[in-house]
Amino acid sequence: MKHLKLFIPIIVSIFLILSDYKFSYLDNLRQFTSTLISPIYFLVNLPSQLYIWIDEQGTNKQVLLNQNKKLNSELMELKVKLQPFNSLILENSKLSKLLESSYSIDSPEFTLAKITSISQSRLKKQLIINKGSKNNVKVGQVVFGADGIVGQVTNTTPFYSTIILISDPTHYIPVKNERNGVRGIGKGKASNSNTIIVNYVESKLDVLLGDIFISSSIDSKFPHGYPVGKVIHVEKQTNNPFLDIVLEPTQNTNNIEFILILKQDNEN
Amino acid sequence: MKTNRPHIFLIKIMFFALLISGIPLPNTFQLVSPFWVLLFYIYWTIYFPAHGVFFLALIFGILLDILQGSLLGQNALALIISTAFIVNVKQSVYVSNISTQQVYMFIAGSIYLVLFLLTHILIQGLDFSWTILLAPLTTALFWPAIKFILSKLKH
Repeated sequence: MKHLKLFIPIIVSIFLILSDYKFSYLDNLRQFTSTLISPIYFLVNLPSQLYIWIDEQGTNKQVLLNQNKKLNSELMELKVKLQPFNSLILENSKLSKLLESSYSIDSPEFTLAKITSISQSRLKKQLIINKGSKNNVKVGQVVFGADGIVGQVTNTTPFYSTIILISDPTHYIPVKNERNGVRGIGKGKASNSNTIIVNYVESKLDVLLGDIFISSSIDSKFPHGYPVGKVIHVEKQTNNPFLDIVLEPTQNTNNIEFILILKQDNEN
Repeated sequence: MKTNRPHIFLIKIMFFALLISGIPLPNTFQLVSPFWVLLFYIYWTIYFPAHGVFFLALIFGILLDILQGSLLGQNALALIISTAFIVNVKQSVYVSNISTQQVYMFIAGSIYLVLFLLTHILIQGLDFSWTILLAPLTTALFWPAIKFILSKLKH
């Protein structure tokens, strides 16, 4: 009887591990329990939210005015930079019509969210945001920062969502070199540094330090052409047919405050 | 806090343990931080006579798995087996001095880590930061503080 009391929970936990790894039967249980324990996220972030609130209350009006002026000028600059891009889209759609091609450039819609906490797990690199299923955030949606792809939504509760970073070792993303189109699969590296390794790039191919890898359209989850990382290490190994490539994500997640969630579900 | 209601006390301290486990820390600190849930649960197992310790370990392990976004059952399995070790040496831990207790905590933390990593390795391969191996040591180092705080709360 004493052993039974020990073995039943052990068998249950092994069953949970196997079923969570192989199947998705327990997704509803996870979703439900996440919602139940979501007040913990709120409590954990309370001190930092309080600090931010106090800091905001004490901000000088002049500082806010200067910040506003700076942001307005930045916005204007970005709008001007975007003008040739808009004409290119028009030109592209005309050419597509002429060629009777079905190719078109998407005009994506985003949801803005604020990051509430970063990485509370030992082996996973993830962050929590203040938008959840009430704001139509869904599992699998792609998340962007101002400088590139941040990751993907892995779990949602009504008020919070969890995002797995592209530098997490369990996250894979198809990438291609912006300079010459060399393709590979990006995978997070299990180290303290937030880096990504690119697998399956043949050693005879041309990859240089400083090259930028962007998301590839091979996989339907990720939209094409968004920056993923910059090459910080590339090495040809004698007994390996593939290059050893390490990227530094273009989007630094240490000082990121807001992120954008791509609204469309590219799940087809 | 009344000690004649061990399960109420357990819920309160485990809520606090889950709260600490959820605090965002820089990556290295996160890796070496003690197994808070294990420490709090061990305290309760040693100092409170109660039934269903393994079943409760399963429940709190699952809650931790969900909170941390881990595989369901990963922390639960580690917590159950570490608790089984502590239950076996419970009398000895109870009468030992604080340094000997820290040795027991180090062993319990090591069992926890081995099982936690074993699940990780079986599923994802040998792909983790070695800094995590320091976690049982920090678990043992934090034991006196946890014991002191919880014994004050108990009374």
